[in-house]
Amino acid sequence: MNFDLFILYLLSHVENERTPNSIFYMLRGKKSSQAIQDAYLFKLSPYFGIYPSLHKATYENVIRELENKKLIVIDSSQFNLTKSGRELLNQKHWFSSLFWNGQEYHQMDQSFHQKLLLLCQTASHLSYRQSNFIPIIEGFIIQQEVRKHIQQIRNSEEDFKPILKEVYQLFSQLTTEEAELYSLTLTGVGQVGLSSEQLAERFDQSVHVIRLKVKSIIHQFLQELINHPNSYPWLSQLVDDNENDKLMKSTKVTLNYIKKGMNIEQIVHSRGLKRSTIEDHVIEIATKDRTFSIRDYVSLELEEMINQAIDQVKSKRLKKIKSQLPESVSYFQIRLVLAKPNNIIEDKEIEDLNV
Amino acid sequence: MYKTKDTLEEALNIYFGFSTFRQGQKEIISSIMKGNHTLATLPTGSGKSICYQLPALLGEGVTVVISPLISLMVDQVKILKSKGIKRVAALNSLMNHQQKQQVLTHLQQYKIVFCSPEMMQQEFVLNKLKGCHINYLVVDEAHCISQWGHEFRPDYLKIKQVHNQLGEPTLLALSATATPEVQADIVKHLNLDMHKIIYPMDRENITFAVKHLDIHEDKVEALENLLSNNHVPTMIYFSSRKVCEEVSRLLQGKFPDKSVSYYHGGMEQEDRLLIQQQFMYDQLDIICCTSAFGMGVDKPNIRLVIHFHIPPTIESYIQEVGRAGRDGYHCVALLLYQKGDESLPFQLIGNELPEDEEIEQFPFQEDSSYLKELLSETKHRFLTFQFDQWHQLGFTTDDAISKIKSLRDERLAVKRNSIITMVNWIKTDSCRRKMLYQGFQDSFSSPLSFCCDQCDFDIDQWNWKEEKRSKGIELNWEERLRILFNRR
Ligand SMILES: Nc1ncnc2c1ncn2[C@@H]1O[C@H](COP(=O)(O)OP(=O)(O)OP(=O)(O)O)[C@@H](O)[C@H]1O
Ligand SMILES: [Mg+2]
Ligand SMILES: [Zn+2]
Repeated sequence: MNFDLFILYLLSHVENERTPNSIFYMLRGKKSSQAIQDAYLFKLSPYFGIYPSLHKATYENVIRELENKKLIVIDSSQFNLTKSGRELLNQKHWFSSLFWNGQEYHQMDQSFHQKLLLLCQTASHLSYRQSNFIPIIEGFIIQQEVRKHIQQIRNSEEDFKPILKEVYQLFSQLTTEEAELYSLTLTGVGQVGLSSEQLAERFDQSVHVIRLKVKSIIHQFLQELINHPNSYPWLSQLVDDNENDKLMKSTKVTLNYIKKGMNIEQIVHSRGLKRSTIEDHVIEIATKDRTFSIRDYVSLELEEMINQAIDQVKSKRLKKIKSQLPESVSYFQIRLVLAKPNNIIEDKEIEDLNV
Repeated sequence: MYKTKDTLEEALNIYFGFSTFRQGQKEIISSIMKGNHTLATLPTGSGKSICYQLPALLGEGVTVVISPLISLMVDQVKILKSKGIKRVAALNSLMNHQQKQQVLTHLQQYKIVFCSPEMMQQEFVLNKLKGCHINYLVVDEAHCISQWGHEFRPDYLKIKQVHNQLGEPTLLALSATATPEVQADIVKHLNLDMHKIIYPMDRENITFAVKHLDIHEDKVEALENLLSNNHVPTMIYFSSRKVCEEVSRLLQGKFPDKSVSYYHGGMEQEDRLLIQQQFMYDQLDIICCTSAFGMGVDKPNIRLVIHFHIPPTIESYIQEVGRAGRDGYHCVALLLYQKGDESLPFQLIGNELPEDEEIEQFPFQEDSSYLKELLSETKHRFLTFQFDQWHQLGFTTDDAISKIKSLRDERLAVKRNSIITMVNWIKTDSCRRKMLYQGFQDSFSSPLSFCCDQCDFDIDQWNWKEEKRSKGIELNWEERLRILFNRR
């Protein structure tokens, strides 16, 4: 039920606006501009991509369960929370105080986690003067990176005490339960990490809750390391510094064309892609890059008109918004405006800055 | 050079830390070091790997080891590396192009390269190999060459050709489950003058027992009783993933003091790795698993191997109980049988061999990915190989279809028969040890401890107390970290 509650909570953000499945794609971190924009639009960014291994069948079960318990009602593509569903969410829950930052970290959290596990395992064995062991992480790239890292540590430190100190410091930021949980995932001399199923059994919680809690711990670590790199001279190096890497590959190519001054038609033509794909790229850029101006695609007047329509229908459903507007306004333009809330003032400031 | 007696032992000690050879090892090593093509059989867990690893390390050039299972191959590379033997690599179809290239461009630098049979035939792999000095070509699990072996792999038949193209380096074929017919078949296929070193395959340290039970619940109860009397590293084999998980959970509930977990092919790779390591390092007491776990597992102190379902052949049973007692000390193999259990393996062979319709349509399907989706992997492999072969021999498609149908029937009969043999073994009232190995050899060494439940052993009276190790898991996180980093 704990996991179901969490899903119910996420669903409450998009009721009437999107299908129940939108939350599934959001949690999996679906790499589509629609999903990315939705996460932003419905204030779900913290949860974007925090459960990439979630199975469709599991999710569908949860939805069915919520429906059976009369916490949500689904009719055709719409759904609503019921009164009891809403009441349930008024209480405090296991996830209320948990931290995630999926939007920022979902692409690097897995590799960071693996590097941390392998670094701890290697440091553990070397602390006991065992140089041969079976690495718990198989990926070749991760292994190489950690190997390099370990080499640097050995070159400048006498032993692995500084690593332990940093790990200890990181752990101290956690609650006791979290520290227990994460310490049991570590592998080294005298201990092999537990799988999520085993943790679930040990803590008597569902495996989904355990996975989300572990993910939350990793995100806390990442935030701490990114905010205070100086307090963690060694561990902070495990964080990928691909800040400007948030756009998808193909989107970056499109962005380069835009910067060269090409319009959508020209980009469609020269990349040989569908128009809708390029539009998706533009929306992704608008969502993620606050300095990006949409003025080439939506005039100031049209933007105001669209914003009024949004206010009128009190919904983010594209169809409803479009029905309030003249035929000539495209879905693309509406989505662009949705991608930039409160944009009128911001845009001006940004345009000033751009000069 | 390492020619004399002493120096071989010395090398064994240096590379592997063992002071003496086990039975047969030295004879096999000497044979291939003299350049004899060799067919060797030794029991499961007796140390066949050393028979090529040591010569590989001592000689010049690359030793290529053909191995049927990718997981087995990957495990062996990891284990060798963890022993400090780093110049080893694997080549298999799960690697991407870049990873393969990485190995191939540095081929000369490796001492041992594990390779799947299908990879060996790839033009670009073969060409690279031709450019190197190949020290030995090793065929592990060599019974896969034989149509009469329990695990025939059509790709293994191409080994002969590859061996030729590589200029016939010294070849070593190894197996723990080859009947005399299979042995003859191996030699016939390889068409070489082979030195045969055949050791009996019986394991003197395993005691065999079977328990007959009426219903599923009785099986579970028997398991519980057994495990409450025996506190030793235990493996329980299942044919079904679902039952495997269920029983694992049930046992964990029943025995809160033990740690129990499960392992099967449907799990995430990362979890599988953790569970396997936990078992290796005695952090788990009991592992419930499917045959996906078997092959690569080389844990010295497994004392009890239980079969909850019946394996499809005597050979796979020998392989699976072969995980027990690899340290040479006494261990017990128990099979739980419920009337009708054989229906499961009978069903499974249906999935392995193609139906008439599948045979008839196979040559007319253009889209090969479509076929792969439709047919099981074994069916697909079987059909691809058969049609290639008959076409090469100049048969028309129609003739090939009827040839393949009758071959399929033959294979079906073989497989049915082996299930029946397995059931007969379960139902026998004569010595289980003799009956288990009689297809392989004539003589038996006398058992180290008890023989079997038909001769002198009563599993219900059996009782194993091993001192409980500390679980390490009862600590709190700070203590755990301090131990991990050696700061106690
Ligand atoms: N001379 C030796 N002294 C002590 N231990 C040995 C010796 N040779 C091999 N071993 C150990 O015996 C174990 C089994 O060896 P190995 O995996 O090669 O068995 P195998 O014959 O290939 O078995 P299987 O048929 O199950 O594959 C290994 O742990 C190995 O280290
Ligand atoms: Mg072997
Ligand atoms: Zn007997």
